[in-house]
Amino acid sequence: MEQNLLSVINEILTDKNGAIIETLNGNMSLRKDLGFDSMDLAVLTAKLDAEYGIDIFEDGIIDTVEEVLNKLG
Amino acid sequence: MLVAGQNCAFGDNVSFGDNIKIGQNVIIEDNVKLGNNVIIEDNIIIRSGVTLGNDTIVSSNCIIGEHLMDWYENRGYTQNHYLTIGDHALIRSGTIIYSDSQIGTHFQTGHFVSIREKSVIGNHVSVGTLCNIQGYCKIGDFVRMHSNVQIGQKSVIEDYVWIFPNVVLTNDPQPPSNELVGSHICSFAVVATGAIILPGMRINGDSLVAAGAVVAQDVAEFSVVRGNPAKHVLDIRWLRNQKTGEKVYPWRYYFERGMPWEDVGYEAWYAKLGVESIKDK
Repeated sequence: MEQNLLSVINEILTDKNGAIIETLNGNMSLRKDLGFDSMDLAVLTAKLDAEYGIDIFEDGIIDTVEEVLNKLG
Repeated sequence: MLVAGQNCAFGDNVSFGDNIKIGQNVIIEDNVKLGNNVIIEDNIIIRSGVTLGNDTIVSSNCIIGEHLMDWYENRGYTQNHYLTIGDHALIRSGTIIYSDSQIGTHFQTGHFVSIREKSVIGNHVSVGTLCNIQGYCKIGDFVRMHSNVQIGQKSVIEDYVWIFPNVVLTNDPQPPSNELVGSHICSFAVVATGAIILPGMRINGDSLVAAGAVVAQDVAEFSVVRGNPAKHVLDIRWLRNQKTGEKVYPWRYYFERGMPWEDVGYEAWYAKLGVESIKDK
């Protein structure tokens, strides 16, 4: 799952012409460390929902990679 | 009752409603009709053929019913041209509105707005400071334009559209040319700051054009597009409030201020309409 999340994150970064990342760190902030804006977060939500059927923001805003992974179970 | 300041000049066949207040240095030309409770501030020209609705305020240094090109070409001789502005208008200082246009009720401008001829503008429309509406266009009801929006000729903007600052709707596919092709923005679409809409685009309803995007192809309903050229990013319904995580689109379900469904909510308001006139999903 972590590898899959990394892949999705790198898809988004590539679309933004941003640099891809090699590994994920649970403490990574989607906003501060990965530079995701509101649209990027929405894209992430949509992609993860399409794959896992889970809306990661359904219960409120989350920010770190660890929080995303916890949401995905 | 009419109260007028110094250095005013009124033409022939001017109709004054009740309770009119006119400032200094105001020229009102022939065949002008002012409704009731109209306030005309200082240094204003209201040209022939203008009708201002009840409860209208025109702030200082405006020209209402500006001459069209035939006046300049024919050195003052002109066909009859008309401008109608509905009730409850607030026209702020420095604004110039050409003749041969039709504007609905509750119209509001910022400062230094320019609106050219053959503009048909609906009710409850606000046009922000430094906006330039080039004329020969149609704008619906409850349209909100922020500052410095440029609307090219032949543009069509439907009801409940938001256009944020510094947006440009272009219309010349191969400039310079004589063939103008306007764009069409459908109801409930949002065009964010600095976006450029190329000629002939259709921005479908409930879509969002992201800030700075350059739209070179039609935008699908509920689509969010960004970039240059703009590309589809996601369905707008995935966008969330960044603090609460709550959904915020389609915006009509979450935003009410100044809208006809204010205080009652969109669904309740729409249910009362009992019409199929607004697309809804």
